[in-house]
Amino acid sequence: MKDVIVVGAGVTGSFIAKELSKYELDVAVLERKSGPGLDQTKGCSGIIHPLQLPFGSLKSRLCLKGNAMMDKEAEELGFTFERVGLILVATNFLTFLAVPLIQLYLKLNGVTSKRLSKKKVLEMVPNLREDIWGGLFLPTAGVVNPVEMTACAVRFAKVNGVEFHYDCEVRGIERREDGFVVKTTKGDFEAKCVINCAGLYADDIAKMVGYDMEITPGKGTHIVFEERGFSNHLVVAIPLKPNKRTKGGGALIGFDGKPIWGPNLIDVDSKDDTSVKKGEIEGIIAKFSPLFKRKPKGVVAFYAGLRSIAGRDFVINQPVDGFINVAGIQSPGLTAAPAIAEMIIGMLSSMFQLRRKKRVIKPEWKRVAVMGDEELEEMIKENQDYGEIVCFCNMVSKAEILKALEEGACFDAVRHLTWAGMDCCKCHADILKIIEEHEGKVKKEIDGSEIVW
Amino acid sequence: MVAIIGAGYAGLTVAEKLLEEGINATVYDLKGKGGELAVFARIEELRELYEKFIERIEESQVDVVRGFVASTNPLRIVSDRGVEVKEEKEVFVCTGAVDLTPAASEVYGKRPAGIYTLETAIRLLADRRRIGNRVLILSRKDERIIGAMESHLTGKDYEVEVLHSEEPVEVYGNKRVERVEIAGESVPCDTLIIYGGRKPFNPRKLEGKLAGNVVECTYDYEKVYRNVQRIMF
Ligand SMILES: Cc1cc2nc3c(=O)[nH]c(=O)nc-3n(C[C@H](O)[C@H](O)[C@H](O)COP(=O)(O)OP(=O)(O)OC[C@H]3O[C@@H](n4cnc5c(N)ncnc54)[C@H](O)[C@@H]3O)c2cc1C
Repeated sequence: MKDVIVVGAGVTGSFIAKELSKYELDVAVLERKSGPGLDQTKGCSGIIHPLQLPFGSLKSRLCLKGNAMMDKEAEELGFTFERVGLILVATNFLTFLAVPLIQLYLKLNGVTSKRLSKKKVLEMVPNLREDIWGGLFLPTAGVVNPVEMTACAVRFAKVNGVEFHYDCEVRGIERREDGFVVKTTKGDFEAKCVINCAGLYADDIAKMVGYDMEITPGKGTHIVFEERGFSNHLVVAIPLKPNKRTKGGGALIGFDGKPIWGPNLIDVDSKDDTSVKKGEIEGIIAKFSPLFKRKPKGVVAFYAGLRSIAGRDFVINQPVDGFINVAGIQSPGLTAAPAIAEMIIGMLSSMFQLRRKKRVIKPEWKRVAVMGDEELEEMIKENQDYGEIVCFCNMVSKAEILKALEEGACFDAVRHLTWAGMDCCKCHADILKIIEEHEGKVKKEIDGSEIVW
Repeated sequence: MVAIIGAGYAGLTVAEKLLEEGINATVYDLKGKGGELAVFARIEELRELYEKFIERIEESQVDVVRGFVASTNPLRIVSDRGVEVKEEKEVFVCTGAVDLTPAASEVYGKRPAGIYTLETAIRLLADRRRIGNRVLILSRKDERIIGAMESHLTGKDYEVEVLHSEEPVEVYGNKRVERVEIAGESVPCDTLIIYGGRKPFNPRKLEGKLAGNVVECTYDYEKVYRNVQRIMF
């Protein structure tokens, strides 16, 4: 019997597993897809948000806390994180007048910001239009690769003893006197405690123990451009009237510097509906291009993610002894993940005698793209695969691809984790062949999504 | 010293021409000799179509140094031998072209398994991988390679349909492509091969004289040939 079973290896479940791995506990994570972070987490914008409205809500508090924790987490787990900062741009006289008020409001709620003159804004982002009025800089905003962040937590949890089971869908949960039997497509698991981090399907899992809730999917579409350096900061126009349901997206950038515009918010019926419509892309372009003198060059990709929405806030509760919901983790769940994990440890401390392990291991995650020549030379001496570059655009080696396969034996896990093949498609066939040599066939992200065989 | 980056048709031809002039250039390529023509050579129908170009690269006596050129100034070469750094006077960039991504080719809708750029499909088929059963080839630019691929796939027992159209397309399907919609029509298929055109493949922004397909961006090697002739002769 396990002490804890976590359902779902999105960013939430993975960070909880990572935190649990620091204690003397027997933990397993069950995930229906073929790798970590391949559902909602993969489809998000990758922003470590500086704040979330309304202040005081659970999601807002966890966002602020998670943001503050992120440097340490990135250092400990080894994922890429950069505080590129966000510029709130005043595009007209009215919003310009509001800047000092916004600054005061943010300050009262613990968010630092700096007022920027029009000249300064244009210096920071020369591609912005000349007729803007000024802005506010939020230096704590940052960018990550969401799947890398998730997989780094997974790797940490794994080397510290947590079991991960992929292609393992939870189909039912039975309550027993001393805990639960979790029924999956890979057999039964017994545990004293179950943590429900199933994202869009957290309502199904909650119903298995008799807790009624509903998750509705809210789609967010993005467009990714090729032109790195178009802007080096996140850019959001100050809205005349804030929308209660969404921050409204922005002219964002990815952790690799490529512009990402979006996301919008569209209610959809199906939890599989990640389709990107032509009209949505046109809408995003129409919304953000008026901010700039021109559009960024070259379209690379469109993608959509589905937010798991259960009302206005996160739903973190214990409706049944030993069963914890971490549900409705909509935006800013990526930012909040480390803080959510800490909160769950607090909840578990009443259930278990939590004892810290004497020693935890810090795994390494090496990226050729950010190595100096000397380090790369050393790595190649140890393992020649580091010298075999597969993806030219992002300088990813065969060694990294093979390492990524240990975290998720499918194309999307490899691509998102290593960032290979995320610009052009030149190396896709090579990546697919490397995976096929190791696995016999290649799935995209879940059983039944075979790409080559 | 002169460095040539890319050992495809352009790189090899430039190297030979320089040799005739008594200039010894070093040719770098991650994958050895031949570029994408070496891939085409492994598919009978493409081999026929590109016969005269493929023969040229197969006859070429030029030595190729295996390695990935990460930058040109200075020249940094990464390979299983390690990292080499060199100063070169002159650099020819012959890194070829790459197909536009599905998004850049106006493919909307979902991204299930079964969507390939023409280039990825060719590379997989050349290595005898199975990529689906019922294939739609959607081409935004008429080039002769499309017909050759249609014959190849038909010969390998794929059910093939070819559409030449510039209309945006929307993909439907959950785990695998189930159908696409284009210009109000629904086409059932489990595989979409999209050809939306090509662009220069030079992601590291290597500097030097650009030659061959990195300029022409086509599957039509007559154009690549003419480009190299213009530059070298
Ligand atoms: C468009 C968009 C943009 C966003 N942008 C940001 C942003 O910039 N910054 C930010 O902080 N947040 C952002 N978010 C929010 C963030 O993505 C989510 O809060 C976060 O990814 C939630 O993670 P999760 O682990 O709870 O859910 P998920 O990532 O969905 O993980 C749940 C996992 O559970 C698995 N699962 C489901 N059912 C079962 C079952 N029965 N058995 C086994 N496994 C199961 C799923 O496969 C999945 O992997 C965005 C969200 C969207 C949709």
